[in-house]
This record gives sequence, structure tokens and C-alpha cells, in this order.
Amino acid sequence: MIQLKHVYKTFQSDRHTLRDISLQINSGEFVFIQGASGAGKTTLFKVISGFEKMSSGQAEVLGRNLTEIEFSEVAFFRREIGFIFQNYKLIKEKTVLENVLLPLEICNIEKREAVEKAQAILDRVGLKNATKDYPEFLSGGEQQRVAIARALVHSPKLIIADEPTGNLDALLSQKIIELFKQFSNSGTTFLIATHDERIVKGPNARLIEIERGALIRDNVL
Amino acid sequence: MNEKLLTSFLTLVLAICLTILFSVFLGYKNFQILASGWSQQSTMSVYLKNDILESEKKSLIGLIQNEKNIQSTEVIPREKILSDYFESFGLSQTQGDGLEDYLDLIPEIIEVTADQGLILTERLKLFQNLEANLKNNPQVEAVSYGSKWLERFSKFFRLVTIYGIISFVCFLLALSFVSSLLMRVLIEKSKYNIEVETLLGATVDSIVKKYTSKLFFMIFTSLILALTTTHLLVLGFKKFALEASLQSALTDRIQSFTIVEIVIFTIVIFVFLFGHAVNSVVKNVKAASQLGYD
Repeated sequence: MIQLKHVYKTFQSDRHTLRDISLQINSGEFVFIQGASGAGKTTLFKVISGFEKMSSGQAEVLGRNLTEIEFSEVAFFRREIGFIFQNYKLIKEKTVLENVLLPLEICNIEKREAVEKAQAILDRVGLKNATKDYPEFLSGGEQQRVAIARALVHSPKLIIADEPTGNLDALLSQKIIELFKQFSNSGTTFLIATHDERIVKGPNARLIEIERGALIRDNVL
Repeated sequence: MNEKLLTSFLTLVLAICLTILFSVFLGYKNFQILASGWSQQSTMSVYLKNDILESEKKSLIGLIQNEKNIQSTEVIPREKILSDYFESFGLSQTQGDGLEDYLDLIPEIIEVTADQGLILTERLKLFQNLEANLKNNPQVEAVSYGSKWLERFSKFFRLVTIYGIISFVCFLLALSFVSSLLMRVLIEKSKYNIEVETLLGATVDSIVKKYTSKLFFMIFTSLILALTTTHLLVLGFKKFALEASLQSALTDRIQSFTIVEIVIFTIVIFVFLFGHAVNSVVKNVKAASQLGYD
């Protein structure tokens, strides 16, 4: 699913760099990427999702060679990935349902089918009754569940979650990770960047640790 | 301010700018029409030779009537000219007895009246054409149409027209910059949404299309609003002018837009405003879509 070979990424400031990253992640894996702030987790995700071009090396993600990918293809490539962020990235002018419908609209899914899918996923994340609410009236945990529903609604093969529990307390964080694991059981690959050690737990999880842009640990938990 | 409110506000700003533009245009157009109507110089006098035959007179009238935009031609007989002459000195016809001997010396006149709908410059052109055609005619003694007055006013109108066109283009350019700026503000305001949509896999083209449709709707709505408002202003002015007991002959001549003018304005506005603002949309959407992950 993801294969990186000797990937380097250098910025002018020399911060957030990747140094000789080589790894392989298979379909359905549940992977934690751990590291301190500025270690390079986000840069790694940007490279994997096509937001940043690597300086050197080779990367193949979801069957696409990222060194050769055309700019016009990147948008279509991203439709196969679900993104979850610390700050949720929800559109506040849209209701919960409209936010979840967004990826399906982008993929030109027929309206009725899209609404059915969105309602089903909102039911799974426990927000069946909040479809007409606006994100700003929801708690942090609820907003993150909306973001999860939006990331999963179009059944992507890969989920990239960048500090998904960064704004949540320990209990909520644990619940979010449990929710991820439920979806992971149905075959979706999860890449979760975090510096919160409390959520990094097995079973069936893998931990990759990055320090100053270099991969220093790759264990199965 | 949310996106919908901002869009409505920007549409209103555009509509106000366009209303100003259209009002100035209609003001100029009606000033020209009214000024032309106010002038009494819509007739041209063709003085005939004394020895002209009736058949020659008829063919001369035919020649004049062949010109476009001639409302009427009237032959003024010598007797009428003479009696008008007496009256101008406060004399009665009887007090002028004995002057009939001089009747043969008075030239007959063909009075040519131009169409009332012609503006000054068009009237001047018509009379100049007629003068050129009649000057060398052996049956014509002279022509007169207040050419100096007409020429002076035509020059004035020509000057006003040139300045008008220059101002119109400048205003339109300024307006196209304003609309680009407004689109930039709108995209800046929606930057976060664009970022999210890009992140979810929306193509730059689809986002540009979305904002271009919005721009089209904004320009179209503001154009309709501006045309309607200006038309209502004209109707209001007409009503006000009538109530202020201005000559109804003049107020009746106040005009709103013609269909041709509406079509031309629509094309010009879209070419200038839409063309320029689309460029701004593409540039700003591209810039905003680069930041999806941040």
C-alpha cells in the first residue's frame, strides 16, 4: 500500500526534514507514527498524500508512483485517502450532514446515495441525531467524530490522522482510537501521527518513531 | 460576515457602481436629445432664383425630399415673405402699398424641416449634405440653416462625447479592477473552505468553476439591478419634470435604454468585468489550494 525508499525532504529552513526514510506499510495495518513536535511526522504525511514533493528517493502510495505523479492527478489521488486533523478542519457554515457529504459531492456520487452513506456513517460514529447541527455547537469530541465520519464516508483505502487527539482529553482520545480500530477491522489502513504516548497501544498495531526526520524505531505492539 | 452575506454585499457594490455608470450614460444621452429639441434651428431655408420655373421648383423639392431624415418641405411664396416683412416693422399690408413693385425682387424660399428626432450633430450633417448638393444648383440662390450655431454646439457635443467615451472606458477599467478585488476578498474569505475542499480531493478546475459561476451570478444580478434602477430613475425624473411643469414636449423625449444599448452594455460589462475577474479567481484559487494540509 505504501512503500518509501530512501526518501529525503529538505526545506530551506532545514526544519521539518525527512532523512533517508524507508518503510513499507501493508493494506489494513494500524500504524502509529510517533515523534516530538517538529520531528517530521507532518512532513511525512504531506509527502505520502502528495502535498509535498520529496527532495529525493522513491515513494509508491496506493499504486501510484509519487515521483512521477502529474499535478492534475493529485486531486484524484487524494480522493482515495481520508484525512483527520487535530483542528478537525470542518466547514462551519455547513451542517454536520453537509460536512460529511462533501467528499461524496467531490466524487460526484448521486445525492440520494450520498445522503444514505453519510447518515449511515454518522450513525456508526454516534452522531445520528446531530445531522442538522453546525460544528461550532458541538463539543471537541463530537467535532472529531464528524471529521472521522467525513474521512471514512467515501470508503478510502487509507486514513491519515495527524494528531487526531491533540485537542481532546484522555478519555475522549481513547474513545477516538477505539473508533479508529473498529473501522480498521474492516480493512482500512490507518496512519496516526501522535506525540501522546497514552493512546499508542496494541494489539495489532505498529509503532514507527521518527526523530529529527529519521526513522529510529519500527515495532509491532 | 459569512460567504452568502459577503456575496450579496459585493453584488450590491457592483450594482451601485453600474447604476452610476448607466445614469451618467442616460444623463448624457438625454441631455443631447433635449438640447437638440430645445433648439429652434431644425429648419433650413433654400432661397430660390427669381426666374425659377414651377417644374424646376418641383424637381428641386423632389431632390431635397430624397434625402433621409427630412420631415417636411414648404414653399413660402413671395407675398407671405413680404407680409411677414411688413409685420416685422409693425406695418399693415395697406401701409406698404406700392411696394408690390418690389415683389419680383424677393426670392421664394423652400423651408426644409429636419426630423425632430435627430440630435444636433446628425442635423448638422444632414444640412451640410443638403448644402453641398444644392450649392451648385442653378435654381438656388443661397442656403441658410444657422450653421455657426449648429457647428458650435456640434463641436461641444463631439467634445463631450470624446470625454464621455474616455471616462466610460476608465470607469469600466476601474470597475473591472474593483470586481477582481471583490472576488479576491471573497476567495480570501473562503480560503479555509477551499483548503478543505482541496484536501478532500476537489480539483482546482472544479473550485474555479464554482467561483466563476458565483461571479457570473453576481455580475448578472448586479447588471439587472443596475439597469432596473436606472430605468426607474429615468421614469422618476420624467414624472418629476412633468410635475415641475416643464414642457411636456421636452419631457416626452426623455429616453431610457434601447434594446441595442442593453445588449451592448451586457456584452461590454461581461467582457471587462467577467474577463478580468475570472483571471483573479484562477490565480487566487490556485494560491489557496496549495495550502490544503496546513
